[in-house]
Amino acid sequence: MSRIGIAGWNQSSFQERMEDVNRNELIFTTVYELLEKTGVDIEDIDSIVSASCDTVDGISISSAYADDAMGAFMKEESKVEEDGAYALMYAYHRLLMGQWRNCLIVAHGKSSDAGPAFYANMMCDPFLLRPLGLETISSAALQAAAYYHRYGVSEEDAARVVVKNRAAGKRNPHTQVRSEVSLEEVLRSPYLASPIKQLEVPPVSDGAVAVLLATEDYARQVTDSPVWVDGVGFCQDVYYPGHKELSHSVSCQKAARDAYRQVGIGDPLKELDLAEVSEGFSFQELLLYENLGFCDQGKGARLIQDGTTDFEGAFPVNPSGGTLCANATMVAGLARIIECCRQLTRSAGENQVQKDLNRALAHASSGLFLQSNLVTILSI
Amino acid sequence: MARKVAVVGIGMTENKSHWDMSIPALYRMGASRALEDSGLNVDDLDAVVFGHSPEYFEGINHPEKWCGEAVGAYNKPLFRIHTGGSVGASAAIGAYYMVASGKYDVVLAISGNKLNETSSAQIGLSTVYDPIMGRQFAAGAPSAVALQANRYYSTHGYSDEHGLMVAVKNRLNALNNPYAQLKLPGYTLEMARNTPMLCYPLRMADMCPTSDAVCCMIFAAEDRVESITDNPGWVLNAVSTNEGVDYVDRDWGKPIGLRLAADKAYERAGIKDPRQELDVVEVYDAFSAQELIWYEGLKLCDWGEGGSLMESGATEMTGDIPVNPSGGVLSANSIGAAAMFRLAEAALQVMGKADQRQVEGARLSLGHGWGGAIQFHTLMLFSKDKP
Repeated sequence: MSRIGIAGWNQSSFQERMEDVNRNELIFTTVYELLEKTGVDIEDIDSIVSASCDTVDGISISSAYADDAMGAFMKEESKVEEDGAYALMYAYHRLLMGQWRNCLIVAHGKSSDAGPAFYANMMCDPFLLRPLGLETISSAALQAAAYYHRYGVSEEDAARVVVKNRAAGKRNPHTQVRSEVSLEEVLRSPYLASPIKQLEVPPVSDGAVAVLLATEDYARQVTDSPVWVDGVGFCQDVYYPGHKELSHSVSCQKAARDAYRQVGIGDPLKELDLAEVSEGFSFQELLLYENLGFCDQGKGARLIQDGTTDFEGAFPVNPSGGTLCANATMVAGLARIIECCRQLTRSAGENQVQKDLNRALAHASSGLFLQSNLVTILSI
Repeated sequence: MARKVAVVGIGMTENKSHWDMSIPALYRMGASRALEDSGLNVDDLDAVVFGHSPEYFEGINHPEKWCGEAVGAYNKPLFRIHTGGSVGASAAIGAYYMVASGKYDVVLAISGNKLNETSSAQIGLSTVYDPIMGRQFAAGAPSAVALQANRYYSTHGYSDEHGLMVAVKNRLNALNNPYAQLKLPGYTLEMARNTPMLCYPLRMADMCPTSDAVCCMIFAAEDRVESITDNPGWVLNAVSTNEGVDYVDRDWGKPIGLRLAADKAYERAGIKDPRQELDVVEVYDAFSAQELIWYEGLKLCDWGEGGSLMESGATEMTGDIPVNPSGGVLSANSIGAAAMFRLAEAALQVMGKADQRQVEGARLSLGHGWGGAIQFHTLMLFSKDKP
């Protein structure tokens, strides 16, 4: 089977509210810059897969108007209504079929238009969950409480994730929140929904990213340093929070196992060099360590206590600052893949991890309570 | 190169108001029927591709999260595709690609909508338009397609009579389809002519109904097909294209995006003369005039000859290339499922399982979906014979 690789990428800036740029301008600029960077003409793009959401965009069939801006006119094209990482997953399988040389992947979300609370509450069924007023922060609080209670994780352990990621974000010119916070500041920030505190919540971000995915031959024509997609696993689990144990994520475990099986990874912490995860809220990064198989269930806090996942640690997690520093809806997961590409190709500049890097994991999530997860393994 | 892939199971719900079922319940019915048809069970599914068109119709964001368990995606890979009216076909194409990739052996594609959850589908459809440069018209779909029909009729010297001929043909075909919604026994051109004008030149007879429905197709890899079914519908190729949305610069009566899709699909499948080689076609006729326009885009005739092809009777059940034996979208339109119904109906024909609406001896068929702000076209070609 031929290899599929990432031949180029581009990220817009991430801002709390892009008032001076409309959605199509954001998409056009992001794609145009990618084509400039890679030297590929839009005429040479064989197919396009985009990721966006009607509820975020406030437009039904939101890709209908966005497609022109990404250069899809008279091209083979489709759209997934999931995080951009799922669009890359779909494009990867399309390319494996052998019909095209390349696929342009575009993910965009001006999260500030609808707001994350509305986006999340509308995801709730209208009969049982929506009337409770469940949204992003309150659902995360329920999950955090279950996780802390079951494994004896402290609020301080979760706060360490914020300190770590904000320190990394300060180095990353591509992210939105670029200031450090102390453990004390995180712990003293007000509760929004106990046990979730203000500084443990991701920012609202507007932004777009684009990736050029290609067959091995085409990728090598475009760049000297393609990043290979070695495997992709994804999975969705149970919808109703009352129907599952919230302190872990079965779909995350299954997605990771499937990806590891494809690549032949037995011990991810040893065989991978770094990870970028869509942590969403502070504690979720610890929960993800466990469910991605970096450690045993309930032991996630140890990896942050002993510095393993620090920027300078043995296994850096979120050297970009993660989604705690920029979290554009529909975009954040594909941005994680791009951040892995920056690290693997040693083009991350100020936030370049100094250790040897050969293989990385990028994680994306979709839905409340980590209901759907996707794991991509990348290598150089 | 790609693995060979076939349709091994199809499940359809009736198109009607399913007032007594929730959205997941309706999806479950579609998935259960496809599993039953194929003899597979949930454990046999490697992945699910979920389709659903605008969430504004039902007021639920990411319905695939709510409906996942109902369609067999409990702890399984599932992702959602959304391309408006063409979504059913886009989801089926997604499932086909996932199997063809070599990574998944059995993939279920499912798509639907419960349009009766909304007070008016046209309110939802009006939110398709750009919020700054178009939504004030609140045009819905009929007024946009009325412009398309006018353009087509006036360019080629046809009249609304040609559209009404399509309407009558498809409504009579629908009598043979247990899943269709509009059943009008003894429907005549005279009766169609006497329906009220809604948006010139479109009369009530030229419109599709509002339906709740789900359609489901199961795709399997070559080495699994034989053990599942004796009569698979082999997929020859699938294409989805985008024509661009700029209203002013486009000729609405000449679907170049559809022609691009047809050219690609026919070339990849080795079809040189579609009119002669295809045995039956299912098109997305949301409005009668569109069927004529799609004839031309699909190369069933030359540009400008769609009306004449209809007049000739070639696309009737008794003609040499029947189009929409199911009654088409004019007889049932849930939007989310409508494009997958077209593909599933085309597949049923080569599988020999179309019952009362079976075209005798069908070996090669084509299903078509249409969507977006009238610019998405999706095609899938099916063969009785293994490619």
